[in-house]
Amino acid sequence: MITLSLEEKKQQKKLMNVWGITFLIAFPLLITLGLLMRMRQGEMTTTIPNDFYMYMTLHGLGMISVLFSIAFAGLWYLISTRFVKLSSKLGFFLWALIALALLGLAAGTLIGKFGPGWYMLYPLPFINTFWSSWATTLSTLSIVVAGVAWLIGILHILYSMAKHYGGFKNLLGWQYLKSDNPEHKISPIIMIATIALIPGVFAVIFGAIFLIIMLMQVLEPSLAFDALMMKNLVMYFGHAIANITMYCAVGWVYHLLPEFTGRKIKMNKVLVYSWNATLFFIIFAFFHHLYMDFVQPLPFQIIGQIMSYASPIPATAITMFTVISQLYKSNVNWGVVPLMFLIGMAGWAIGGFAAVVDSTIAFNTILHNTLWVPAHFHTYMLMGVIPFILGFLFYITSNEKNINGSGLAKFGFWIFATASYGFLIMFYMGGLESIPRRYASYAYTQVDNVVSTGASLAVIAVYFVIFILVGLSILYISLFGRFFKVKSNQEYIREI
Amino acid sequence: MEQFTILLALQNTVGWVTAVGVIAVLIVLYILFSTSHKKEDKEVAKAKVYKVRRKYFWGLTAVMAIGFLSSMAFLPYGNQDDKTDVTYSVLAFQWGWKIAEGDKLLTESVDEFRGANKIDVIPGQFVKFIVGAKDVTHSFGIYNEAGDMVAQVQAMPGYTNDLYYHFTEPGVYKVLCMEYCGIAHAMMIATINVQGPLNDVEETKVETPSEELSEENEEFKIDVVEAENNDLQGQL
Repeated sequence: MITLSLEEKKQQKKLMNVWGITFLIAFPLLITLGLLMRMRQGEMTTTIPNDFYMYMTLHGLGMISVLFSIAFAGLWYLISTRFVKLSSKLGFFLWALIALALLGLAAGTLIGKFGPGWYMLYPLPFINTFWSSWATTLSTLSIVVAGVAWLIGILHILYSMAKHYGGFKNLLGWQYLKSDNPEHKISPIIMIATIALIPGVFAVIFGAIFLIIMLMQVLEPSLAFDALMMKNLVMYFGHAIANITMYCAVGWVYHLLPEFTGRKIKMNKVLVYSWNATLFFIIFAFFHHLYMDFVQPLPFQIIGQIMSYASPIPATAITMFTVISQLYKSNVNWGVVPLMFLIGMAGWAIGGFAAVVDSTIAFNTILHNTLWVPAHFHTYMLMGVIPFILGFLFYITSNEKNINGSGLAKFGFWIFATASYGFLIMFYMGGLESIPRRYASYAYTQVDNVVSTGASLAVIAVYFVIFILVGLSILYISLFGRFFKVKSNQEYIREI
Repeated sequence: MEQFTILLALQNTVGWVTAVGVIAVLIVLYILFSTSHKKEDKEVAKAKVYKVRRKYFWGLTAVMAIGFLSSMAFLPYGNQDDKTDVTYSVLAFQWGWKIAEGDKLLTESVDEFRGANKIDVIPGQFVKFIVGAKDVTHSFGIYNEAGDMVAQVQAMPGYTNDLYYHFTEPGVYKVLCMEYCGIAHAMMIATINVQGPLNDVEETKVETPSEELSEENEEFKIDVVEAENNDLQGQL
């Protein structure tokens, strides 16, 4: 553990608190956009398609930006307060950049009606649009700004850790392949942070290439770029950012769960092999987004399925079994933090099952772009990453007395979790019923099952979202109370 | 690829496989919650869990390997012209479909291409669709009468994708767009009529969005009817 000055500790804590509050404000606003979408699909409102697709774009880009940012911020906080000094001044600057980016995105969508979806599938943002080119420019620039902030942050952490631990090979844990007791010891979170953030570097670079091409097209409309190349670029960007959001949060679990179980997680060869393999899988699995582009070179399609099939092996056999070994007969007190971390793991597993099914090319032929796709990634995010984030926020607002959280918080969490699964089941059923995704309305499809079942499932989903918001409100009452009560420099770490 | 004869049950297979996964997760949660109040030494607990983990690791690797290899027999890629009875060219555009018999999409420009949004296929025909797009990326998704998707392929500007489908079951199939392509993404419909031998083809009736929708989208009125009629006149 490093020793921070009181002032530095306060600054890092303040930065984390700022991120926590940013997330708590943005999250329900972004949920509301999703609620409006499902309401339209359930024919409960008459939102015009323009607005539906604008909500869809802000919901998607907003959620992924906010969730990745806070997952990264959480990692930053744990690393900077326990292992390696990071610049809190830089951290605040990056927060400001990302906040600016989010505001720009909000303006581009809510005012400019930018509505091509998160993935801006080229050349859709430029043909027969219901938004002006200024909205395209502003939204694209906003994501560029966010990307620059993420890249600076990622490189700062990687460089600082590499300097502290004597090089990248040590960050990847390779020293443990030769010895159980190497000179440069690292904690598992250091290795996980490295493996989560390296793909982030590539993701931001490929994303930047995609976004710069978009800006070139805005400036010179006569240009034309290859649609397949653009799809590969944007899918790499989106897939990697979403994936590493989960892995950043999993890093917290590795580090914090032992504080509750009293069982330390030690670095060993098995962890090193499995996480280094995961790095490889994160980078190449993105090809599974292009299975239905039959013109994509066949080797890429096969690689996509191989990598997608391989990635659950370390994720379940190593990480999930590590969590099981942490909790099995551990006499753990089921306070909010271990509870949320475990439920988050379960969500990751369930979403993962659905993902592996969809990543099978043969199944993808009838699942692609149906509601099965939002089913699986909403499971990852809503019942994987969000419980991890909530657990983390309860952790950083804890002291000796309130570490386990209140009955109210647990009650709120169970409402949230149950309602979330109800909401998700509607998506899964929609996938099994072949309901297409990204439809503002199912009423005109002339496929009776899609018309009726699509709308019915959306209506039920709306009711579940209302209960999600109820559960979240109860959690917020508990969390905000803790934010204001716990002193900013207070740190509750249990030695194990 | 010879399509699945059990294709219509594919959605069921997906559901069952996922259900097995969900049940497995629930069992693990139950075990953890029900045993967590007991206290066992860390090394003893770890040893028990890791014994299971070893078997799980090898078991899962085997399952994934077998699953992967089996699924390779059902890839939608590759040339199946030797089985093809009839070929159709499909052009997706904002916001409709033009379908015409033959491989015209390979020889004509997207601006010249003419087609209709309704075709007739004889039951039992093995059909090749050459799918392209005029403007943005769309996706050609075929639905059977029960409302199940049976096949799909992306329609990307600058490329053509070949989709093969064996229409063994008669009925009226619908084509929906599966890739978000703009404001009327949800209104791009075509019909594949798989019924009996080809007789005198009735005058292709162009299907239009409802008037109610046109009112909603007053500002962005999509004159699909006019576009389709222009195409039909070009075809005749």
